Parts: sequence; structure tokens; C-alpha cells
Amino acid sequence: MSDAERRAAISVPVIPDTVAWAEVDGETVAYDEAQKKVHLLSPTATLIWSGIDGRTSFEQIARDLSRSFGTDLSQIRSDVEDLARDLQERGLIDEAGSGGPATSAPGVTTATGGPGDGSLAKVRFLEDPPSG
Amino acid sequence: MRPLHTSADPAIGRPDSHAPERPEHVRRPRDAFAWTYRTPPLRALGYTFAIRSSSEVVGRYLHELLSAFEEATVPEHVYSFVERRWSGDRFDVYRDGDVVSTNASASTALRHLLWDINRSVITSMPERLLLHASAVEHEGRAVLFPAPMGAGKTTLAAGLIQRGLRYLTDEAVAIDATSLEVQPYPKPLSIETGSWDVLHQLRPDVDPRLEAFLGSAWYVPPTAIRRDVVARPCVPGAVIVARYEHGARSRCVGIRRSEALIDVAENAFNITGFGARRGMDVLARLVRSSRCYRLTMGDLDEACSIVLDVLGGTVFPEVAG
Repeated sequence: MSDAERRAAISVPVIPDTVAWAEVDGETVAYDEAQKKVHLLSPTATLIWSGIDGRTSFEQIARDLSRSFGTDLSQIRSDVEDLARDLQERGLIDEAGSGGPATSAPGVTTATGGPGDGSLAKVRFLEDPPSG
Repeated sequence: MRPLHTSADPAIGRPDSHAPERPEHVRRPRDAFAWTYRTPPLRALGYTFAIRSSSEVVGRYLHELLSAFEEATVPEHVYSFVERRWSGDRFDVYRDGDVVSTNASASTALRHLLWDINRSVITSMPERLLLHASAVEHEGRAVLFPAPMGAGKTTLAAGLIQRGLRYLTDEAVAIDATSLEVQPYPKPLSIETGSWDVLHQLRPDVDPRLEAFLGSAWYVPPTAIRRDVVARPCVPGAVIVARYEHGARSRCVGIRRSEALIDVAENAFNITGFGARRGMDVLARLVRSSRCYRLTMGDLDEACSIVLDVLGGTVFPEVAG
């Protein structure tokens, strides 16, 4: 199994303690303290993200969303798998029980449509002393 | 703080080569200088200090630059701004026992002094979330311009306060975690050479003996623009992500609050020290309390007019609880 396949194998996700996030108008902005990066999650990703609580598997999250929205499970499962890979590549989730303590997901309101996933950027800190 | 070697300073003399090495500040007889000017106590956000100078004309100049910080308080720190006796155009700067700058030109010594004050302000405010942003006040609400260095946030703030808005800061917006109130940090506006043409009216009118302090930046005390220019504390009402683009047509468009949240998070100085979760919560409330825009600045006059038009037509949201 390749690294990429192993990374994609997370079944029960947990959000690391080093990740802080907030939801605004149906989209989530996550700040990864370890990597000093800010990430934007789309409304769809926010729905899935809101189901991550360190105990629920991605499979169960897909089933819950399928039931809630009356959408075909196979389609939702595919979306959830894609997002799981993306979140893991960004370092925003771990396998539950593999690292530090789980972080409970906050109560998140239902998201509606909107723009796609996006921004990665380094957080900037105080500049060096001036030269010259 | 960057340690700087100062043993070439003729005022100190060579340390005894047989004596154990001691920190520079222990060797330096700073108090042997005749201080001809001392500023009154100054407070920049939570940082209190005073400055003493071996030159009266320089001391008065520093006092004038920082006069918006005057407050009856007990300064916790003292800066010493020392003109070298053997080379009058060179300066040493100390904060308490630490070297800030040594054997520096006037403009470099001033730049280092102001940088150290700014750094100290930022690191002494753990109870407030600090954003790298300029800010002005409009209709009782703070208008924030989060941006990295070089984006034009000082130039834009200067242009807007010349047009009647009040000044909060050109560098660090300090946000109270509970009320979201922005506390003014009215440091001198630091206007770099690239903006001298468009802000030529702000060229400091200094004593000819102080010309050497102008260097590659003009430091403009806000009260030199207008006596009553400094805003009172106020809550945010708008976040405008501004960026200078040479030759571009200035334009301002509304953006999603999530986009604005990315920019303010990227420009938070102390989100880790503040507590990342608490910080993200504060920033989310900040953007929920604000109208959010992205501004491309080409020409300053055009950009200021657009911002004033946008703000004039803006109904600010309630402050998010």
C-alpha cells in the first residue's frame, strides 16, 4: 500500500488539537496552528466537517447525510471519500485514537450552496527588524 | 531582540580582557550621560515607556512623534537615545539595559526605536487579539484594512484621515475578545518612499538639524494631520482587504465573510499566544459584525473616494455576540 493509499484509509476521523476553526455563513475557515496555515472549506465540506467528532466514521457520516438530504448514498460516499483525502493531505484530520485527544465538533448549522474549497496560505507574523 | 555588538563604542572602552565576559548592558555606563530631554510617560496600548535623549532637539522631536501616546502613568520601560559624542551623526538606542541599535545613522536609529516600541506593544498585549492591519473610524465604527507589509495599508489610512476619518492605527489593530472593541494605537504613520508623491502634503516639516532622521520613511505624528484625528475606542463595522496594484483601476467589491476571515486570520499577530480556538472565535465574530470588501488600489485619490462611497452607503451590522 502506498503512502497516499494509507493516508486515504482513515475511517474514523478526528480533528487534531492544533486545528482551530470557525464557521461563517455556511463555510468553515480552519487555522492549523502547527503548520501556520489557514484553510477554507466549502459549504459541502462544512457539512461533512461538522460530522467529525472523533467517534463517527466517514461511512456513518455519509449515511447520515444521505438520510438527511435524501441523496444517493454512493454519490455522497464518493464526495466524503474525496474530502477525507483532501482533509488528510492538508493535515486537518487524523485517525481517531492514533494521536492526541479528540476534539469535539461544534454545533454547525446546515450549510447551503456556495463556492468551492480553496485557500491555503501561510500565516504571517511580525516582520524582522528593519534593515538599513 | 537582535543582539548587537557594541565594543567599538569609544564611550565604553575595551572591556578588560582578563575579566569574565559580562553582558553588554552591564558594562555600559548609560547613566553617566547627561540627559537633556526626557519625554513624559507614554502609553501605547498596554506598553508604557518614556524616552530620554542626550540631545534636546532630538528628544523634542521624538516626543512630538509619539505625543499621541502621552498619558499620566508610570513608565515600565525607558529608552535611551544617545548621540555619540565623537561622531555626532551616529546614535545608540537602548531599552532599559538592552541594546536596540548601535552606531546607527539618525534614520536607522529612529527606525529601530519605533520598531522596538511596536514589537514591544505587540508582545505585551496577550489579552487582546492583534491584527496586522491599519484602521480608521467612520460613524463610530472601526474600518479595518488587514494586509501584509507593502500592501498600502498606511497609505490608504493616511489618505482617508486626510479626508476626515479618524485614526486608529496604521499597523496593529487590538481587539478586545469580549466586546470586540478596537483600542486606538495611534503610532506615527510610517510613510515609505513609494508613497511620498501621493502624500507629499505630509512631508514632515522638521528642524534642519533633524533632516537626517527622515531617511527612507517619513514618520508622521497623526496629530500633525489634524489635532482631533485620533479616534475613540470603537467596535468594528467593516473589513476591507486592500491591496495596491500599480496602474490598476481602483475598485471595491463585496466578499464573503469567510474570505475576509481568511485574511484576518492570516494577519493575526498573536493568534497562537492568544489561543487559536479563542482567536478564531473572536475573528469570526469580527467578520460577522462587519461588511466585508476587497479593494484594489491603483490611484490613492480614486481608492479613497471609492472607500468613502462604499462606507457612506453601508449599514453596519449589529455586533455579533
